Amino acid sequence: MNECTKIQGLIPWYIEGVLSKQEERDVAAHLCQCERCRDDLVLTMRVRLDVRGAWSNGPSLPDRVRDRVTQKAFGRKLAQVDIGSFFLGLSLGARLRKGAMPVHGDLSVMGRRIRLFNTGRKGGTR
Amino acid sequence: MASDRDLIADVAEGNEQAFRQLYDRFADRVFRYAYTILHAKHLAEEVAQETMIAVWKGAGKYAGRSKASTWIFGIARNQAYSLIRKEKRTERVPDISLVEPDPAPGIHRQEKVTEALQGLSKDHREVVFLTFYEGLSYGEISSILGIPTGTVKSRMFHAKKHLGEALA
Repeated sequence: MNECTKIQGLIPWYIEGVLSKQEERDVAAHLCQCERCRDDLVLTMRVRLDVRGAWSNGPSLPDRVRDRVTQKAFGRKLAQVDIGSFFLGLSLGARLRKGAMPVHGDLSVMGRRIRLFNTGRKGGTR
Repeated sequence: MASDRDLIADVAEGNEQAFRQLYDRFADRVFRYAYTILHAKHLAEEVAQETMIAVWKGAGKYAGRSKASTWIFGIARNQAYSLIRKEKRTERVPDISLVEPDPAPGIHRQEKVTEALQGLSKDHREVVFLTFYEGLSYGEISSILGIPTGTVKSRMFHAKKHLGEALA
């Protein structure tokens, strides 16, 4: 494999800035002295810009998927009881998930929620 | 801001808020990746959904040896390919264009880019996507795809050649 083929093989990742320091130095040094590889760098940058544009303008994930995912992951909320205030509170909740009814308890301090237990996860608590 | 790794660690402990954040960071990217492989919106949607659920269920198995994105895209790829096997589908004519219709002046260029991308095999297209859209290194792509780094570079080389010619 000649030097140009090797360098041109690294150019896509050189542009992304994800090569090792040594590879980055090798590519930069080679580019300084090789016009053909500089042309390849320009061509690759143009291709990159084009394809990024196409993917950015392509379809995106609909919002409805979020609800489906959270419902499948956490289960459907059955009941929740909250006591206390913003400063200090306790909450107890139950969900319905495929073949199980996990129950969880949270302590909230100054609006920050700390999970006390969750029977739906391995180990049950955290 | 919590790192992806920290979020996964929190998700492993059942932290729903951490999972919502992880969803915001990755779900749409997973969808776009799956779409480059499957070329069908509804299937890419299914892959994104199942991948995020797998992340919720399997966060405890993430050892942190690779980047979070490498782990999540690896799951997405497995989901996409098992869907292909399930549906006994091979490369299929896309159900919609990569670019939604748009009367803007740049549309002809975008159509050309879309066509050029569709002219790539899905193996080549995913390497281009993971490099130029996700900015992953060839080493990370090699881990996700389960192929040697030399193959990643060679796929990129051929894909770039094709795209360069098609977009000249």
